[in-house]
Amino acid sequence: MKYILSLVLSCAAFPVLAESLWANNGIELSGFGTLGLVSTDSEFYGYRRDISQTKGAFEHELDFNSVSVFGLQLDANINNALDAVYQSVYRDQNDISVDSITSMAFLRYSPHVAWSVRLGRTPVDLFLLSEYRDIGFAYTWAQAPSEVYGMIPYRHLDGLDITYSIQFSDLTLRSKVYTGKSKADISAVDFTEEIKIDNIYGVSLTLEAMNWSVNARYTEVQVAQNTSLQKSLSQGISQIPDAIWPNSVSFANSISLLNRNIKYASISGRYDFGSWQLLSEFTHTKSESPVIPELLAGYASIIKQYKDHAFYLIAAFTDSDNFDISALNVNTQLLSFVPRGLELYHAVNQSMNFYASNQQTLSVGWRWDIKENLALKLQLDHTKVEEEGGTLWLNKNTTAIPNQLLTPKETINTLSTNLSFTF
Amino acid sequence: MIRVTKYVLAFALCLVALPSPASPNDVVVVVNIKNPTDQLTKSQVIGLFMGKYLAFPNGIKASTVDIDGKDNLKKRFYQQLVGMSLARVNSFWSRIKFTGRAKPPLKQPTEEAIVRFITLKKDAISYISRSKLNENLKVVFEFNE
Repeated sequence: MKYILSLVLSCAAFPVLAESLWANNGIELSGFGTLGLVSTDSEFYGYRRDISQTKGAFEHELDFNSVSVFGLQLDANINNALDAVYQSVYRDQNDISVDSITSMAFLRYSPHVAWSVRLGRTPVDLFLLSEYRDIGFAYTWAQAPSEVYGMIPYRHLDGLDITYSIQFSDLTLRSKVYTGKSKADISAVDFTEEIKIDNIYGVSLTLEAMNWSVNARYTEVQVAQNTSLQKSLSQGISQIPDAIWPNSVSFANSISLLNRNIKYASISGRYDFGSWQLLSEFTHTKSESPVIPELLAGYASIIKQYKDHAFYLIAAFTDSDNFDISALNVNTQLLSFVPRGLELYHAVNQSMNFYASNQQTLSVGWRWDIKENLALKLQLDHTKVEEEGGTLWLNKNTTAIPNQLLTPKETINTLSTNLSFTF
Repeated sequence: MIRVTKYVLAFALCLVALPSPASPNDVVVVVNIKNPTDQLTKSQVIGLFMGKYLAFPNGIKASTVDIDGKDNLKKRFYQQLVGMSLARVNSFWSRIKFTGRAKPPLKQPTEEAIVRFITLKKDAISYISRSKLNENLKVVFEFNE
């Protein structure tokens, strides 16, 4: 919060400073931000934008931090073919360090208009809005659908990307390949773990005309480390005799995430007709580990533009299979005699279902462009969370009680509003 | 009476068919007179000013130039080019600029500054009112109302 205030205050000096620097050194300072509020009507499900966040809005609470963002960007022209970009974003990260607030830091070499090579930290390009989900002014909605973006905590790629663009007739084709590594936090109410991924290889294709575009993306990543939770669960399970937990050692090994691949695919499209716009995206996530189940997610949105106002509807969903722990045939009666045995059993159940999300949301919203760089947005989400499908939410019900659902069925209304701006 | 009506109709049709005279306030897209590009299509101008493909048809990189702020000329230009308000144009550009994909057009404070800039820079392209044209500039695109 202090960081936001100091940055907002220092903004006042930026236009003058930026103009002076630009004129003298080919350097430009600019920025963006979102000042938001969010509230829900759920007693134990708390709204959060993605699974990296440990804090959010519960019933009778107004939350500012989880939906507010502030970013600064420095662009520097070195010569006609070389430039550098640095961007810092505060979005209520769990820890504040130079590394965690640096969202872009790259050198770009562009010897020809069709080719561009970026080396350093760039935004990760897993899905359609992944690169600009934190830049509220860049899209119509007050919140990007968490069904698709809530499960992705990664923001940056440390590595290299190569872009090739070609224009023919009224069409532009942009293709990008990228490789590198990344890291992010995965959080629940009571824990935060850093996840590192490397060996990231991806391709992104965009074909667009002025009034339509189609996009396809495919990325493979490898998990670079096990979380400490995963390690302790594996150790705990492997010590239990097979008579109580059949094939315990083999199961303990199978839940390791280390060196397991995860594949992300997305296909999306936009079509503008008159003052209307249709936008839709479908994503598919699949991994080699049973801890991360196959996940289908998507949304469709229709937007009506009227003068400086945009009115919209969004329908979004996630669909994945839950892990059925009873299929392991663990003898829970005997396990209850093992010290903390049942705790372990339910922690495993919770962990194996952590990435399983099953919910549907209908949203209605309004964006008002107050000025050419300032927009007010309001959005109401009506979400149906299925049993054991509430991963995208913060869950206060974390006590491991036998036979009790950790994430029960729930219907949640979420109201969010924000002011988004650029300067 | 029928004959008179015919003449009136014919005269009216002629008026409709005639191109409207150029107004000094018309927005025209201009480059340096030494720039080899003589003409651009609307989609090429859109490609340049909306960050899709920042080069002239001969492959030379283009330096696009905007007038600063929310000048009426800028509003008219983008409204005619892509049918968008400046807020929507800025929204579009913020997803390009703040993802580090491309840099938005350079900014100049006035039309006079734009004229001076293009006169000095062979690869620059911008838009001005027709009345600001001079011998150092050439029109590569104009809107047909």
